[in-house]
Amino acid sequence: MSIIEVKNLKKYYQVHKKEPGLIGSIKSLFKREYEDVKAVNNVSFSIEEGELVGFIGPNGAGKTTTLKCLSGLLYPTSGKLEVLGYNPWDRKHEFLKQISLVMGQKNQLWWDLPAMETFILNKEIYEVPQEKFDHVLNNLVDLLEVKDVLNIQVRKLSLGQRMKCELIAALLHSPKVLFLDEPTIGLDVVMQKKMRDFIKSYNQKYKATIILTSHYMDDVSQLCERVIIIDKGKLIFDGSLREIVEKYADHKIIRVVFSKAIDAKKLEKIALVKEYNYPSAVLTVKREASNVAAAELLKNFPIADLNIEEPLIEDIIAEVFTGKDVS
Amino acid sequence: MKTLSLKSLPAKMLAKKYLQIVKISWTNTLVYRLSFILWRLESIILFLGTYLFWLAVYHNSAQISSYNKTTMLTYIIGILILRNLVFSSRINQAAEDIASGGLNKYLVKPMEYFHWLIGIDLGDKIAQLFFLFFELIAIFLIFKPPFFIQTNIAYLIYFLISSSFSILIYFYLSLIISLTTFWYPEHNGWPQRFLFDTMIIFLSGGWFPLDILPLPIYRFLSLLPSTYLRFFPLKIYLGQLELKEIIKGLILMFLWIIILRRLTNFIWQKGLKTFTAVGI
Repeated sequence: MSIIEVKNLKKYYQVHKKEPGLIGSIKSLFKREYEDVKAVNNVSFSIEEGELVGFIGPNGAGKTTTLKCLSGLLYPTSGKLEVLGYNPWDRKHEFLKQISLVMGQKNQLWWDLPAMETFILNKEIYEVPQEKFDHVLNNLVDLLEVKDVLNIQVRKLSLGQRMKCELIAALLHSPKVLFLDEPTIGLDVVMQKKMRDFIKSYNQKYKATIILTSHYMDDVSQLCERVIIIDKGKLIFDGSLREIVEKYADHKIIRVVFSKAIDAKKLEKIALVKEYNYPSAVLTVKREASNVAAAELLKNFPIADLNIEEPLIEDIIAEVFTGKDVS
Repeated sequence: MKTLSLKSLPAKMLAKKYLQIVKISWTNTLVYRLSFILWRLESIILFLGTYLFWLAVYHNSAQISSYNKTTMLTYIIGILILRNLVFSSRINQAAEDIASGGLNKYLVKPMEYFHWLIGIDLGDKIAQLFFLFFELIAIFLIFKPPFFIQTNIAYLIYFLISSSFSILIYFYLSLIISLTTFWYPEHNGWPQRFLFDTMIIFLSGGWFPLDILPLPIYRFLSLLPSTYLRFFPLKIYLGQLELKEIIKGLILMFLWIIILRRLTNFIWQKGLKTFTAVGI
């Protein structure tokens, strides 16, 4: 049985349009024109227990809206949602006790109080027994190395320390389903990696089902077997990362370093030149033609070094979004 | 659907939850010292304004409507006490939570948001009354006001019952104002709050006892819930109402509580459906 089941989910917002300027403001005072924004438009997918799924898409694609619907914050315009057998919108306490939503840009910690106060409050709200609370807390504090900051006012913590504490607050009740909305936003590279490792281990240790959204491809490519891509409210891909590469990357990249100056125009007969800065060049060729092109290059040019590479996952996805035919 | 039912939890768990919320409320009060001090200051200034005004008025006349100097000044001090007991600044928080999307963090927790507000409000009331106690001592030492002490136990009991009803009525009224932020989020719902705060001072008898107004106006005001927030309990305390009037008032208060509670839940459910949880 799947843990998360989404069928034809739609969420439309009404926003009012306003013409720019003072006159526009006055007009909108008397007559407001509303416009439907289709934040999520007919999205379906299902997720099994223990899966770690990456949710990607450009800004405003509908990722966060979907997560908010799944955690019961938003009332879907239409469609069927089921998480752990519950309808999220009912916000049954038994349901809420098994999930957690972490939003990188919003905090649940009390800004003016030490993180520990929030933890204790959550313990009472989620009715976590003292023993279990101590055990889980110690565990998390060790893993994330935040022992020293628990009793410092949250407003005085660094972003990284705060995010770690946010995560602890969200995990104290050992949720079975975890929605992480940009958990690594604003963190430095080292911290991002730590966060990633932690998420991975939590997923494996507790068999937790996790949906994660992120702008950083590294998060997704290192954590998630499966990715769901949405754009403008529509689901445009659901499958493994490898499949994306196979499906959308119809080309490969050849990096060459020349040993002598060459006539760049000649290069174009063999492959599409993306960059040429003597002595190096970056070329793209059709996937199936890559070997032939490489051989041609070696034959016709003075070459010091040559590499055939898969395109970066970021670039593939950027191409997916910028209107290549993806149906 | 969600209502304000407290039945679902064992009492002990509930008590622990509330205790923790009350604690958070206090710690927050101490952190936001300035707004706490300003709220106290506002309370004192409003009191001094009305007190000194009525003191001056009674300089020339011994009796106005059914009030002599003692009962009037007792009334004004009573207004101060009930302001701290009945009114609350913490329910404004709901408007801010809704407008800023901070409501999210409560909604994803296995807890009713209204219970949270009650807990926060409770903590706040205890803190306000604690400080009021010292302020009252100062007021009595400085102004030595004549004070009417009600000795009839029955009146005192009715006073306490009506005051507890007042707390509920104010809670729902104020919450409804906060909930309008779902539809009018401008400035975190401050405009409607400002109008409410201003009107409620007058309509609850904060400037003067409502029965010194012309009878038709007073009769009309008697139907509104605001009249029962402070004026009505104080009238009982002063022993100026007959039993029949007291019972009639208490029944009306009870009806208002039921109506306002239903209305609050209705608006809450409607509001949540339009809630966009801020940001796509």
